[in-house]
Amino acid sequence: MSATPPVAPPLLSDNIQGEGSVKSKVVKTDPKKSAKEAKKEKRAALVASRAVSQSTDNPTDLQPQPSPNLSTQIQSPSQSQFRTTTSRPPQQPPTSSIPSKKSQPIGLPDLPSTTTSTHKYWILTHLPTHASPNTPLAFKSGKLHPIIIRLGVLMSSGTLRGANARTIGMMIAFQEVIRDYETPENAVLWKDLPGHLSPMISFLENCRPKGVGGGNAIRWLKGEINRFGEQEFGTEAEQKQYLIDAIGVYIRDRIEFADQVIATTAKEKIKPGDTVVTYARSSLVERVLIEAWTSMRILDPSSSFSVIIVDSRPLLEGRSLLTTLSSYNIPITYTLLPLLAPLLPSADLVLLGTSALHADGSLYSRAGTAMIAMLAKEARIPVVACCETYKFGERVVLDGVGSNELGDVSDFFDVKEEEKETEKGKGKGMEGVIPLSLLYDLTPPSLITAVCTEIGFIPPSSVPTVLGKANNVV
Amino acid sequence: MASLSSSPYISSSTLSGPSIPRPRSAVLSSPRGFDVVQAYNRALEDDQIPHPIAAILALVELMETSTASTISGLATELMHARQTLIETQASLGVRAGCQLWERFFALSAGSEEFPAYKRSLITQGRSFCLITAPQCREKIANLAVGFIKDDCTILTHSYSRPVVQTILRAHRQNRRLKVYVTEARPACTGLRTHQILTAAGVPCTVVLDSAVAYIMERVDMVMVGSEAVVESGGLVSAVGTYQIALVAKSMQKPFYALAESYKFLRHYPLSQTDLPIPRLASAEVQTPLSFPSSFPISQPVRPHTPLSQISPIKQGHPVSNEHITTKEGDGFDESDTRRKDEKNVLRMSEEMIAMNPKVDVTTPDLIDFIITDLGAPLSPTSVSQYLVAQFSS
Repeated sequence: MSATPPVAPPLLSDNIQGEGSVKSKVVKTDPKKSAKEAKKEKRAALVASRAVSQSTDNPTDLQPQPSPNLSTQIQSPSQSQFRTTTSRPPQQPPTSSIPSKKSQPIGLPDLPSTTTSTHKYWILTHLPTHASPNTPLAFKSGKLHPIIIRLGVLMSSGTLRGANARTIGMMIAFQEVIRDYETPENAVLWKDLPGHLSPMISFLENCRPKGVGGGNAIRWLKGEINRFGEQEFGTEAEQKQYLIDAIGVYIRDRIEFADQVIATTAKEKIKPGDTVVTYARSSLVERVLIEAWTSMRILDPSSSFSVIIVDSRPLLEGRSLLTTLSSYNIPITYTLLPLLAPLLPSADLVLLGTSALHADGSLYSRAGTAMIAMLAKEARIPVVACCETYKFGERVVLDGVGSNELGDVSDFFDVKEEEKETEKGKGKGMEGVIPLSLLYDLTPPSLITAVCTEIGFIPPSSVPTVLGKANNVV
Repeated sequence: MASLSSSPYISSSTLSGPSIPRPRSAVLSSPRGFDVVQAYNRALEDDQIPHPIAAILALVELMETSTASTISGLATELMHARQTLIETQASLGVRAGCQLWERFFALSAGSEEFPAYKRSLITQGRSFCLITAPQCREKIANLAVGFIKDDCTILTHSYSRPVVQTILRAHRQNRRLKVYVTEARPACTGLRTHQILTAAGVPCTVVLDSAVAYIMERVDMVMVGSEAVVESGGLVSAVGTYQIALVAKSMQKPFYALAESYKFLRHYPLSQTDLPIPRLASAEVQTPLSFPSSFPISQPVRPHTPLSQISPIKQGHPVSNEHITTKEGDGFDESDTRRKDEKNVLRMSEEMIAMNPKVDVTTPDLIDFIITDLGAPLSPTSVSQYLVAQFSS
């Protein structure tokens, strides 16, 4: 592989659009990051936010230890003024300026963001786009915990990417929010806390739709809070501690342990000499491949399998997977989606990541997945989707248009670096040409051989069975 | 049966299915020199005992001889015995039986005193094997017989107890039916089906395994047994079932599978080769039908001059001319023409046969119904949903 760092350029372009003045800074700092960027960011965000929340009384202590990306977004000139308002007095100015999902589903029109405009293609006008959040307004509203704003920025910029990373980030942020939460007088926690959280949830939804997994996690959290209403449970501090612990357990059991179990289950299907195809980057597939590789090497150091990483514009997430896997010396072929057809017949297994798995067994995943599955079905190669059960959705979704996200198209017409200006200008000026980027697509269940979950391999048709069981638990 | 099969699965054991750690030595597993494999083979001697039940019987027998004085001690002994069985026996039914017993054992741990608890386990295990299991086949026959219309031609494969029982029951109900049964090489178990059915007065004809497509147009339905039902809703059964299912599908003939619920196996095969292989055997047994790494592995049993001259490589074993001459010389010494004819026919060698698979995986999309003792006939999807519900809790 080339020495190019695994940075997906479009991710940055969001930042670049929003903060033209700090563009060069972002570009310089980002490529130094490792493949585990998202994780580091998350940790940094957490640490930073703790520092922020501790230092809310000290407006001069502006940037405790933020990540580079984050800082570019937050260092708005007026930030110090807003910072003073972040403590939460129960009565706050009117909420008109709070970004709310219900009133403005497409984002905040009053923001100087290039990516929030309604899509020109009529059939897609309902879809949300990535919006750079209006951080000054959000701070001003006083209804949002700083860590939520930080998280929103990370999500919308694409720094925190992937359903698992976003869900974990969100749940950790909620832990912080709950830790700092104080029930107002004449109120009870279980009635007041959901209302306290809902503007934050809306804000996050506005930054980036939370997806089925995030939605399930929030629903679960609200259920946990509601349980205090059903039965007496200790003091407020105990209730808060219970919720914080429960969120930790949720993250551990439903995501981290689940990933571990899935990795050990799925690796059984990778046999020496196999060729495994995967698309873009899924943290879970990455883990499965690494696990399979290390355990195969332990059993027999001479045995190996190879991986075909299929990638596609504009996100090119596979590069990150490429970096990680090549550090383990796994033989890799890196190719782009249009070139897959001739390569695929030599493969033995297709491993796919998942954004959500709907009740009918259809797979909602990175755009391009459906094409891979279709080709694999044609070549009669087993297609295995790796998915934690918390990402199982109860809805039945019939197509990939009804719910999807619009991606960034600002660099669609960037061909060469030197022609950038002219090409870009050309692209924007082209009449009647609508650049379109959808982030996800829907793979019908008939194309999926098996789903690997923490309860083992199941056929896509058994998703409702698992959903029924999970509901009893939650 | 219900108490055994409808009980939820314990998650810790869920993971251990095909990926059980390396085998401990067989000595460890045997209290006072009890050999669980011998017990299993003894149980199997009874014609009416299928593999999963034989495995359970062996485990029950182990419990009877066990001297362990605590539940955990007994559990450890059982675990070792299960591993010994799984790793020495090729039949997937053994795995299914072991999984079932493991689940039953894990769930039945009650508050009773240990001796009483052990006694009740043994009693329940025995009664399950000797009473419930045969009842399963009865139930299946009751359900499946409804699928057999009067004046109906059935194609079946190899030998399956529930299929034979169903056909006999339909025959006793005075339904006119004809049965084609495949030979099922190399064990030729189809001949046993033929023997039983003919003795009972059912018109039965043996069909070559390679004549399945030929005969399919005269057949009204296909009914097969199975070794195990897997989580995808597919079947693992005697090799040849998959091709019969494919032919039946392409000729739009209904394909019914009969399976007792103790044959449900927690495994999800993605391909024909994706089946658990006993670890102890895996050292010698390569992937079925893999190509030899070097020529020649062994001598052909009876080389046939013209054929081997045409394409010795195609036979997999190139034969030197001298060798053929000597062999043929031997052949000419015997004047018996029948034997000489036999000499002229090439046969598969033991090694060739050993390289072939014993079971194959029939994918769920080819199966119309799986008829089990659980009640109404299930579609493969429902079977997999049932399995997921059982195993996922």
